[in-house]
Parts: sequence; structure tokens; C-alpha cells
Amino acid sequence: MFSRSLKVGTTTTQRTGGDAISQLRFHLLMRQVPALPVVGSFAERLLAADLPDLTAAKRREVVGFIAHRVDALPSFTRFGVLLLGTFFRTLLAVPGGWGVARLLIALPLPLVAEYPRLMRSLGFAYVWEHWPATTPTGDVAVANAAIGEAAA
Amino acid sequence: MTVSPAAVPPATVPPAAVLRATAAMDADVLIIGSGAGGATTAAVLAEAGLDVLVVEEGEWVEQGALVPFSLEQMDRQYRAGGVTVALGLPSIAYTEGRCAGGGTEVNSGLYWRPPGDVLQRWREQFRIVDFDPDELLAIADEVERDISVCPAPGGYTEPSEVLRRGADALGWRNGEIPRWMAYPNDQPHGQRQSMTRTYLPRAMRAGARLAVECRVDRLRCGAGRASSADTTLADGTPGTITFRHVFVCGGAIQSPALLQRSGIRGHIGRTLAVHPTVKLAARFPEALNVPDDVPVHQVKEFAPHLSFGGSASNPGLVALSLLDQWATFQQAVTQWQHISVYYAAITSEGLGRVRSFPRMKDPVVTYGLTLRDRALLRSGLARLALLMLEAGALEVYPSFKGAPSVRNRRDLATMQQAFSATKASVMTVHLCSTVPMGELEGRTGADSFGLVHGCSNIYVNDASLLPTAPGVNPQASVMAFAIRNARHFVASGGRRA
Repeated sequence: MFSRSLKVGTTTTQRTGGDAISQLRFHLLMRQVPALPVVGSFAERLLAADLPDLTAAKRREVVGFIAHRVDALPSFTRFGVLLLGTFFRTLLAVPGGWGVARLLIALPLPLVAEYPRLMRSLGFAYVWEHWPATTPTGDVAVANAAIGEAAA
Repeated sequence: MTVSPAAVPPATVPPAAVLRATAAMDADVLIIGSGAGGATTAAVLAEAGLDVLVVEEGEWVEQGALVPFSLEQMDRQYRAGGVTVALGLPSIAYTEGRCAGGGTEVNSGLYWRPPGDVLQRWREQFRIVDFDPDELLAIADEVERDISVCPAPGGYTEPSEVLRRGADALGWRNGEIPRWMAYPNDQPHGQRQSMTRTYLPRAMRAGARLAVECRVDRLRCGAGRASSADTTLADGTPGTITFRHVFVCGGAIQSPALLQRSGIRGHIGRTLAVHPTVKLAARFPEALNVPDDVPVHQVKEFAPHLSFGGSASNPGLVALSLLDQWATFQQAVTQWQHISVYYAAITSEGLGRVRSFPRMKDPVVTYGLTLRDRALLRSGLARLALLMLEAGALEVYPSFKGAPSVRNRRDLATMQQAFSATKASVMTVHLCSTVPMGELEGRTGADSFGLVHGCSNIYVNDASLLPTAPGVNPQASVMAFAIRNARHFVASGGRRA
């Protein structure tokens, strides 16, 4: 399917004469764009805000998981998520962009609000499944130490 | 309901007997999908002596090899890692099994016969001919024996007792729902009698072949007849399967999507029906969390419109249930052992659609709740919270944005006022009715035995055929209808035209 789609895709891309938007849409649909560079920075900022005590290494691990799951999304959903991801990634590159992003994701905007929710859902599910004693601020080490003390 | 004693589980098929699909295969009958519909169809047809090939997009995973409801299980046995959604306001998250045995490998295993009044209504409103509800219930008897439907031996888990205790305190009708489980030596943890342990081995003993990790992209059709299927193998190479008859059993999303990709029109994918659910987490004084199992009790006082039950509640899922109001609920996650997650499910009057578009691998799924659905979700969540308080919950955390925590009856009114379906995490696991069966023109996609209208050898035989959402766990209905239709196919010589 994949190789066949690529073959068809080449033909289609040539036929449309290099239209940038059409190409972006096509590449997103055909899974040629990996999710990590698109959603990674936003997911990392979101986790850092929600779970400030989660270590950078663990946060990167969680972001990797989130990107892996986004890559596995059904094509249309993935397309939408990557479009939103591109928007937020661009926003984060602008000074003060994170503040605007936080404002936007707090608004009850259809679909836009689903994007941070998806990132959080995947991230939280991963964190508490892998480190169930994590504190609400994301401190895995303190919680595990407490368990160790209790066991001792 | 007939309940058989727990049976000794049948031997599973050695994985060696499961084929890797090849680029060119053929069969008299191709069955696409190996879940509740596909596996039962395969067993009936193979035992009738037909040359049957079952193809499954997912992999074969031995029962018990993965932790139930874990992320690893989601990765390996669910479509898209369990992250699938019907777009709408609100969007509704749903899950589909994608492995040998389909949803039967990963669901709760709770068994409900199709209600008699629902069967009568389907027969009359959709003009299902040659359909005797009693005959279907007799098939349900067989199914219950074959998959060892039985109550849990001994006591219940504490999360299950919570449902019973709360409902009893309120005088609400409730009971244990039997499961397709075997409990060797009365052990409390049963062995799920899913399709990989029951109907698939049976089909293979009768000569059926099962090929896994093989996706069917489209059927090649001409003049209402399909002759071959384009496939994609695990390594991405294309393949072809030729056949005389094809049964599409990919579930209520994938079956209509495949038909649409194959150019088949008609009433396909237009009437997706689901049981939308809203959830809450409840915290109790004692540790009660059971991470790898679900409660067996359900509360049916307000059925068929509204039902209550228990969800999977591992720590990750507890965190998810608190997510919508993390700022105020976050401390509760440290006490996840004291928390269990419950749901209120409704019989929806809304409808969804499944649409396939050119060059897109997956369909777009949409669903719209009606005003009545939204009101029912609101009252359902409030009643469920009340039940939790009556069962002794210290605090209840409803899963919607802006939700207050509920500690007493006064808080219930506040919660109801704050609730809005668009702010809630709505999800479902019961999907059906995308190719409804019957003879009623304009409202059905297949005839009374699953033959797709306008086609001479393409059948659908899964949850897509159920004319509406049955109001109960639909797997029993799916299996009984699939067996009925497969038997009819055999009796008519497999040459209906």
C-alpha cells in the first residue's frame, strides 16, 4: 500500500504542477512527514507547563511516545493534527508565542482545543502507566524514593 | 439467559498454523476480518466444507501475552494505537480492535443477548425477511456454550461491588453480567474465550486458512460482482486474492469504508450508531483499584436509554479521567489505588457517517449528538455520581472541562448546571449500523442475510448489519446474526444472485 501510494503520489504531485499547499497536504496524508518535528516542541512546552518536575530526559521520552502515536493516527486525523501542529510550532517560534498559544488553547474552540487535549491525554497516560507514583507536578524520583522508604 | 458452567478452555491454535499472507492467494470464500463476525462466519462455512480464507489486518497475539488495557496492548491490538475519533461537537473517541480475533480480544467480555423487543423492532421497521427472533435466540444458546458464557466464580472485585452497593441503596435494578470467560479450578481471573480461543481454531480445524497482517485495500468489482481483492502485506508489498464470494467483516467503520473504496454505493456508511458514554472517577476510603480488569456489574434501572458500568482503571486511565479539570483534580492522582472509573452510556438518537475519500487510507468518521442525547448524558452523569455517593465515595471527579468535584448531593446540582456535552470527554466502544440489513429501500445497505444490495457475491457479516444500536453490549447480537447469515449462505448453496 505504502509503495503503491507513493507511486500514485508521485504522479499526482507532478500532475498538480508543484502547488505547495497541495503538496503539503499530500505529503501529510501520505505519512511522509514524521510527527516529531511538527508536534514535538509544542508537546514539550505543554508537558513542561503541566508537569514541571518531570525531568527533561523523561519529558523527551514522553514526547517521543506522543509523536509515535500521532504517526499512527488515521490519515485524516493525522492530517488535521499536523496542520494544527504546524500552526502552533510556528507560533512558538515567535517571541511571546507561548503566551498566545496558552490563550488559544484555553478557549473553547472546536478542533483547536482538541489538539492540546490529545497531547495531554497521550502524555499523561504514558507518564502514569510507566511511573504510577508520579506526583501531580511530574516528580517521578521523589515519589519513587517515598515508595522505597516505605518499603524499607 | 442460558448460562453454561465454566468449560475447560479449548487448545489455542499454534501460531505456526497462522499464515503470513502472500502476494497471490485464492479461495472460494474470502472473509475479511477475524473478529466476532468474521470468525463465526469462517467456522460455519469451513465446517460446511467450503474453501475459506480469512485475512486479518492485525497480528496474532496470544491471549494473556499483553497486560489488558495497557498502552502496549493498544499499540498491538487496537487500530491506530486506540486513538480514533468520530469528529463532531463534541468529537467522540472510539476504539476498534485490529488483531486476530478483533474486538473480542480486547473488550470487557461482558455478554448481553439481543433484547427480544429490539429484534422485533428491527424485523418490522427494516423488513428483515425470514427472520424469527426465536431462531436467533436459539443460536445465542449455542454461542453461549461455545464461548463459555458464565458468571464469575466466588466474589466480585470491589469496583464491581461499588456498582451493586450504590444501586441497591437507591433501589435501582442491577446485576452481574456474565462473561465469555473460562475459570479453570474456579480461579478468580478468568481466561477470555475470545475468537482466537474458540471460533478461529474451530474454523482452522475444519480447514479454513487464516492469514494475518494483510490489509485489504479494495475489492475489484464489475457489474455488481467482485472477483479479487487488492491487498497490502506486512512489508508493504501489494498482493491480490481471487475468490468466488467475499464476506466483509471488518467492523462498523472498516467494512463500509472498504465497500466505498471499492466503488460500491447505496446506503453504506450513512447511519453509524453508537452508545455514547461519559465518565467519572470516584475516590473511596479503601484501596479498590483493579488495573487489569473491569467490573462485571451493570445498572439497568433506566435501560434501554441509560446504563451504568465500570471502566478499565489503570493509573494511566485514572490520570486521563482527571485530565479535563487537572488544575483542581490533580491531587487525586496520587491516590489512584483508591479510585475507580465508571461510565454512563446512552442509547443515542444521533447518527454518524463513515466516508472514504480518494487516496486516503482511512475513512473520515463523524457523529452528531441530538439535544435529547446531550440531556441524557447530563442526567446520566448526575445519576452515576449519585450512585457513587450512595456507594460510599468520598469524592467524585466528573470528566468534563469546568467540572466541580462532587462530595455530597448538593454538589450534584452544581455539576449538572456546569455540564455540557461539548465540554465532556465522550467516548464509545460500541459501533454498529453502517450497512443495516433488511429489505426496506433507502434505509438498508444489505439484504436480510447480509448480501450487499446491487451485488451478487459481496456480503457484510458484522456489527455493520445491526439496524440500530441494540442498547446493550452488541457482540452477542453480532455473533448470532453472523452465524444465521452464514448458515443461510450454506443452505442456499452459496450461489445467491
